[in-house]
Formats: sequence, C-alpha cells, structure tokens
Amino acid sequence: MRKHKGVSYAKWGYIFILPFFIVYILFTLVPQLTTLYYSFFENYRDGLKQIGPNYVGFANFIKLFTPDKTGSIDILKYFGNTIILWVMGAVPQVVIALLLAVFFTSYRLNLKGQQFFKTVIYMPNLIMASAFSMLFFTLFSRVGPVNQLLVSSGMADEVIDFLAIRVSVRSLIALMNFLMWFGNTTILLMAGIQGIDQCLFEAADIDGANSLQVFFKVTLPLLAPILVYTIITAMIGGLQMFDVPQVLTNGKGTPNRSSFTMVMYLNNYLQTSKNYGMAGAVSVVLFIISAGLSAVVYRSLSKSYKN
Amino acid sequence: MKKKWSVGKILTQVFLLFWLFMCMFPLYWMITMSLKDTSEIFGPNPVGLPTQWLWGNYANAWGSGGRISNYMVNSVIDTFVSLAFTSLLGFMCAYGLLRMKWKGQKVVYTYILLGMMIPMHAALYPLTEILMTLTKTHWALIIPYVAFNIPITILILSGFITNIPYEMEEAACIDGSGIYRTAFTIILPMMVPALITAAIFVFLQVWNELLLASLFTTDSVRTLTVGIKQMSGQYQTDYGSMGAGLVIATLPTLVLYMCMSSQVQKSLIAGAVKG
Repeated sequence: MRKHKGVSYAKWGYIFILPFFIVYILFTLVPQLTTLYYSFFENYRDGLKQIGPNYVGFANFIKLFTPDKTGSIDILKYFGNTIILWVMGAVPQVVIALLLAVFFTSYRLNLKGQQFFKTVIYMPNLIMASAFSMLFFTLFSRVGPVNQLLVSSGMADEVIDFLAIRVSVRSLIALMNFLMWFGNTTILLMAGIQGIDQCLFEAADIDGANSLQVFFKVTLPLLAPILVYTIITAMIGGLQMFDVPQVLTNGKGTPNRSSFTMVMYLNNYLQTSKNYGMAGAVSVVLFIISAGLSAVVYRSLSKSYKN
Repeated sequence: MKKKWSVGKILTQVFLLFWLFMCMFPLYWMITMSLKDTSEIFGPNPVGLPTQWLWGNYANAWGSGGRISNYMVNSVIDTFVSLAFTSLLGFMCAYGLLRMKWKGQKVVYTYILLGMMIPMHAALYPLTEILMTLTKTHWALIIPYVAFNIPITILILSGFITNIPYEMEEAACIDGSGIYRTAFTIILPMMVPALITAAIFVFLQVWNELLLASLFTTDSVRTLTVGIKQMSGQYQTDYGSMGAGLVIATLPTLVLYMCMSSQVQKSLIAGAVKG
C-alpha cells in the first residue's frame, strides 16, 4: 500500500500567485525602485543637448529644497497648494457628509426613501473628473454663463475673470472636489453608522437623551475609527490631486501657480521639461509622504481586523 | 396615526429638496448644454431647458469633426481588457493567498495591503521608459492599469473568499477534482458577486483615469479622458457639441449606475481602503 503523504499546497500556492507577482514586480515594484535609483542622477535635455544620466548623489533633492531667486521653495509651495486645496474641499465634505449620514440613518426621523437619496447623492461623482472640470471651465470663463448672469443682473460692473483670481480658482477646485466626493464619503459613513448596534440608540432614547447628546455621546465616539480612516484615505487621494486643477487651469495652475499641485509638478518635469532626475526626486518625496500616511491606515486596518 | 406637519418637518423637506437640486444640477446642466447651440448657452438661456432640442450636436461630436467615437472605442477596449486581467489574476492570487498554506503567506498579504496605497505617481518615469515602445498600442495603458488595480481586487475578493466553507473544497477533493478544477469550476462561480463588486470599483478607476492616459497614449489609441480635453480646443466655438461629447463620455458610467446603483455603492464601501 502506498503511504499517504498528505497534499502539499506550497507548490500550488506559488503557482497561483505567480502571474500576479510577475505583473506586479515588473510594473510596480521595479519602477518604484528605479525611480529611487534615477533620483540620484542628473538626466535632462538642455535645448538639443542631452545631459546625463550622471550620478550626482543627493543634488536633485538639495536642488528641490533650495530657494529660487525670489526666495520661495517650489516644492513646498506646491505641497502647500495641494494641502490648501485638499483642506478647502475636504473639511466641508467630511462635516456635511457626517451630518447627512446621521440625518439619513436617524432612528428617530425614520426617513422614507433612504435608498433613493443614497442613489442621488453619488450622481455628481459619475461625471468624469475631466468632463466635470471642462464644465466648470465653461461655466466660469470670461464669456461664460455665470459672468453673463452677473453682468446682466447688475451684480457686477464688468466681467470677472474667475480663472485669474487666486481665491476663486482655489474655491472652484475645492468646490468641484467637494461636489464629486461628498456623496462617496456620505455612503461610507452611512455604512459605518448602520454598523453600530441599534440597541445603543434605542437605549439612549429611552434614557431621554436628545439628538445632540446621541450624536456626541453615542454616534461620534463609535464612528471615530471609521471617520479617521476615511479622512486619511481621503488625504492620500488628495495628495494625488491632478485632473481637476490640470484641466481647469489648462495645466498652468493659474494664477501665478497658486493652484499648482504636487502631481502637476511631477507631470511638468516628465512631460514639459523632460527633467527625469528631478521628476524622480519629486516622486520619492511623494512616495515618502504617502507611505507615512499609508502606514497609519494600515495600522488602523489591522487593528479593525483583530476585533 | 395622522401625519403632522410641523415646522421641523417642513424645514427637513425644504432642505432635502435643496440638496436634491444640488446633486442633480451638474448632470442636468451638462445634459441641457449638450442640446443647445452656443448662442443659447451664452445668451438668454444658460440654465433653462433648451428651446430647440438640438440632437444634431451628438451627431457632430460622434461623427466627422470630433473623434469621440475613436476615443470611446479605445476607452472601452482598455477598460474591459484591464477588467478581464485584474479579475482573473486577482482571483488566482486571492485564492492562492487565502486557501493554501505556504511559507511567507502573511508577509505577502501584508505587502499587498501596504503596497496598494502607494500612489502610482511614485513609479511614473521608469514606467514611461518601459512603456514608451508600446505607446501606439493599447497595452501601454492596460498593463499599468492591471498592475495598479490588482491589489485592491485581491483585498475585496479576500473578504468574500474567507466566507466560503472549506467543506466545498474538501468534497471536491474527495470526488477527485484537481486543484485547477476546484479553483475554476467550484470556487470561481461562487465568487461571481465578489468579482462583480471588485470589477465595478476597478471600472470606475480605470474609466476616469487621466494622468497615465495623457502620458502613455498617442493619438490612435487615445482614451476619452484625454480626448475630451483635446476636443475642448477643437470646439472652442461650438459648446453644444462639446457638451454632447461630455455626455457621451459620462454615459457608460451613468448607465452602469442606473442599472445597478446598490451594487455600485457596495463596491465603493468594499474598495474604501484605497486612497
């Protein structure tokens, strides 16, 4: 009789994950490592002359953080822009999404048509981001309907160039991001609230807590982990903000580069100036920031798996 | 019990209506814009319903002048081929990771979870180098889309796969089914709902992707996201046709959402881990 050896799954396990790893290593891991490698080289085109690639150590990074003639450091400025744009959109987005989520799932209001509202709330996000930006570009251009309306109704004396004023460009980008993403956040938070044990709300109700007390003492503390998690993932997404400002300002980050984001900066090195060493350095900075944020997400994620 | 109309209730209704309006307005405006001519959009009637419904704008955008039909075909090809690959490879990897015991399993799973959140921008230039030779083909976009979207697919699938009882595989094994047969004819059909959830999430990501599409495509394989940006230059004077182009670009997502909105919402929640 043959001796039963048991089935070893090790071989099959490797075979099953192999195709994924080939694709992943070739097109994600290797490029990521090469980016790091290239960031230590000078490699750009000066007119018709190709400079490099020559090894220059940390020169690209030093250059990245050296003030230019006017004394401002580009990367910090663009990082600041990205953060400002993100905060302007994300703060109202989270606050309103939280209020709406509480409102729609309210045990006491027992709102009808919850599913309908949940369906409608996501609508703005269906429009392709670049289409959405084109729409706003048209709406707020010098000859656009908004200006038409303002002038004809006498609210403005002359045409306002919305895309040449810092505050208005930033507000428009924030508004678009808000409109596109608050439905998403609301749906996530609603799922979070519905995951809370309904008994707690009923108990609070019986004990005579008013809605504010229920919100601050029951909903918010129990929702906190999901809320933090939502905010950090939104932040990682916000760091990669690209298509809305790119299309709205035609890639220029007008006025005076005040709506120029990190990824637009990277895109600029890659596509316009073809300075690949610097592009690598910008990538590495982006990578470090997102890796830090991801580590936080991962920790909260593995914590929630344990529970 | 009779319904009472208190001030609070009325305020709630007003708020809901206002909010409904806010959510619908961008879509409404885009659709009405696509049916007007330029003078109407910029003239007396920027937000109302069109006085004349100009369906010709769509023919304009789709046909000769605009290249929307080309861009659309390219987008559809890139998206669906990417979806097929992410689903297949994602399924295999999730199955191998969670249903088989081998060394380094945990490390690999952690690596995938962590790697998922690293933005693709961190790998752009080397990718440019690798894919430069492919820019005249669809593979230039499909390959990075697949590579960047598999981790999230694995994560969504692994949530479902752990709920399938081991008895299924044991029974199959006793009946003499090999490992491939068990995976592809027994487990795979049971995973269809999960695969759909993952596929919708990936679809939304890929369909709307702009950065890679603008870096890696030449004109013949250009996708919609880049295409509509170029179209705006072409149609500087014909905003109606431009609007029609925007509507066409949005239509597939819109139809998908209309048909299976609760499925889409499920995907969003499942894929929420991605930044």
